[in-house]
Amino acid sequence: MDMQRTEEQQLIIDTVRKFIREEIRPLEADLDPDAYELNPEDDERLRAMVKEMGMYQMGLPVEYGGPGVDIVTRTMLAEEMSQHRAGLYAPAYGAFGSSPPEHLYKGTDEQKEKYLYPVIRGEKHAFFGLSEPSGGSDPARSIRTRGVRDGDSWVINGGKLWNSGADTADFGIVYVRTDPTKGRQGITAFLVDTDTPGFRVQRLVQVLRSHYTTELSFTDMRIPHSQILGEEGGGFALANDTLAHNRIPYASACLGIAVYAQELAIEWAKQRVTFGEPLANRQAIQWMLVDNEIDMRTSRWIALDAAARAQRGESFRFESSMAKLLCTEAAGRVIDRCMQIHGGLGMAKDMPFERWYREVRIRRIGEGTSEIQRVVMARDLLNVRSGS
Amino acid sequence: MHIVVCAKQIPDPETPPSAFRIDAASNKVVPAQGIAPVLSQFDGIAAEAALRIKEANAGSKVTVISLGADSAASAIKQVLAMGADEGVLLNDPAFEDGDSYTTAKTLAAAIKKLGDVDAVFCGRQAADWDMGQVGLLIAEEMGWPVSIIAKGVTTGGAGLQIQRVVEDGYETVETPLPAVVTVSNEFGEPRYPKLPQIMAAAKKTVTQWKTADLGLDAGEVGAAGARLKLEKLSTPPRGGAVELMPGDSPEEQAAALVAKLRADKII
Repeated sequence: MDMQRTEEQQLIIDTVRKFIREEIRPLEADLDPDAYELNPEDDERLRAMVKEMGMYQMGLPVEYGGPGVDIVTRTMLAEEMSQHRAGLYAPAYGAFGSSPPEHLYKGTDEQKEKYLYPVIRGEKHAFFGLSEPSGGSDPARSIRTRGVRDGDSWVINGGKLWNSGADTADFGIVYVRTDPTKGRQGITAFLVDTDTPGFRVQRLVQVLRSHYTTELSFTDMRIPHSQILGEEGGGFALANDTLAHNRIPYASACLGIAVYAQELAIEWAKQRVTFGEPLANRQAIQWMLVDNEIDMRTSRWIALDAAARAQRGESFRFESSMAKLLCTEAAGRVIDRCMQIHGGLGMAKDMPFERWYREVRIRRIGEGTSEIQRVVMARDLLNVRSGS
Repeated sequence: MHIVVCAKQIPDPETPPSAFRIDAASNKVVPAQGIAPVLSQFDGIAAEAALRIKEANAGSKVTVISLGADSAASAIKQVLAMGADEGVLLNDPAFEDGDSYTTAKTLAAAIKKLGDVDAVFCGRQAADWDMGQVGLLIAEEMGWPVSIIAKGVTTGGAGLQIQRVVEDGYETVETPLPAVVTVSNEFGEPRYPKLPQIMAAAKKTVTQWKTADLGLDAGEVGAAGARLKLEKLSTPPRGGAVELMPGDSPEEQAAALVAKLRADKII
């Protein structure tokens, strides 16, 4: 299998790498170690630069006015864009924009006018509402938010958890049980405006990383039938499809911080002298660095393989789960070792390791835990529905 | 106007010092593993200067030429991605281990072969060896005027108007065409390539010329034709001597520092 980058991929990667090193990293010297956004002037300036470069929202399909960069290239770029302190959760501090939730492409023309195009233009922001206090990995059973048809509307009651950005979003894609007798076919995705009466941000939920997430409650929230995204009862398939896609760049972004951590660790190991010898001469350190390299290179192959399968239109659910599991866990080990190599400095907020250490831990849980990825893979491997 | 930009691929100057190695036996820099070579920064600035002139003068063309091995094609592609029109790689084992003279002679032969060139823009120096000779020697080979260390280049007057950096500011000179200009970092930052141009650049074919294509003999290029002999290449010894300036306040310490620098005849 040829994993050689094309000339086009290499040129795009070189450009993004230069941007991260020359535009993003220097700004971090003056930011709070936990910052997840730039000051408004820098934010505006960098977004304008990226738009001028034609690299804003690179994943946006050509038919919607974007450059339509393919998923293999985007997987490679996710690894480049996260190579700075805030890179795991705020790659390039959002300077490259983000593409709209893929579900919106499946909306009706009216829904696209109302939600998709404003999101593309940056006028509206969306949140994703799948998980509930009762669980997130098994939406077929854990979704308790209930929708009851009433004429041309649905009355929705319940709540959601772990919805990043829901407190500032204009709308969300909310998964609701509309038919309790039909299991996974009884779940429907609704487009819910956050100013709908009955919609409430119950609380901000503080987590390991510096940015919070939310808990939402819905009380007699009346949503028109026309706000259903896709088919009634088709929500589960819609969610599953997108989750599998999202896992690949999500996985690859973890590799980016690992790559940067390894660069720093190698340089430090050569500089730092203990008992008259550089750390790099100590076998204990050499093995850590080699193990890092093995972790990074093996998981990168798996992530690119998953992306290549998705691009070729082949089944990639198994591979995207494997990439998600391997990359998140490998990055966790790499960051842990690099922190160890740096000793006391590894814990200091002067260095990015402590932030990466906290944030990369979330990655084994977010977008489906390592365990649920194994369940997904086991189902495919054994061709059984219930592996849990 | 047809402008040629001379572009060199060099080891990444951001290479960590600990990864920089010299092979004493061959007197060569050992390429750092896993760190790709890059376009010399000054040449990126020369490309920016050429592209601005191209954009201001309809019908203009920019050709980028590099002398180097296969990998130097990526430096050419980078300038193509910035907006240059064509690329030529001078790639022949006979070109290896030359000096500024043979590099300029080879580049000049390529410029002559192109035929319709109005101006040649080079970086003020290559960011690896920092010789700063090739631009001047190309002008000598071509018999053209040369303006070095430019912070601004525009079309106008007899041909080009150039703001040259001098010790206490800059001077504006005018040169007829054809001419050679070396561009300095004071010019400003090179642009980031745009995605559509990257896509177009990736599809472009880089022309490759060898010694015979340029009408040169193997004996007058590369190591065979070099006039400069490298005796010894070594890294400077690392180490630091720290002297703390006495004084109870920043003002007293500054005064002590000035006194010390004067005593050592540094200022």
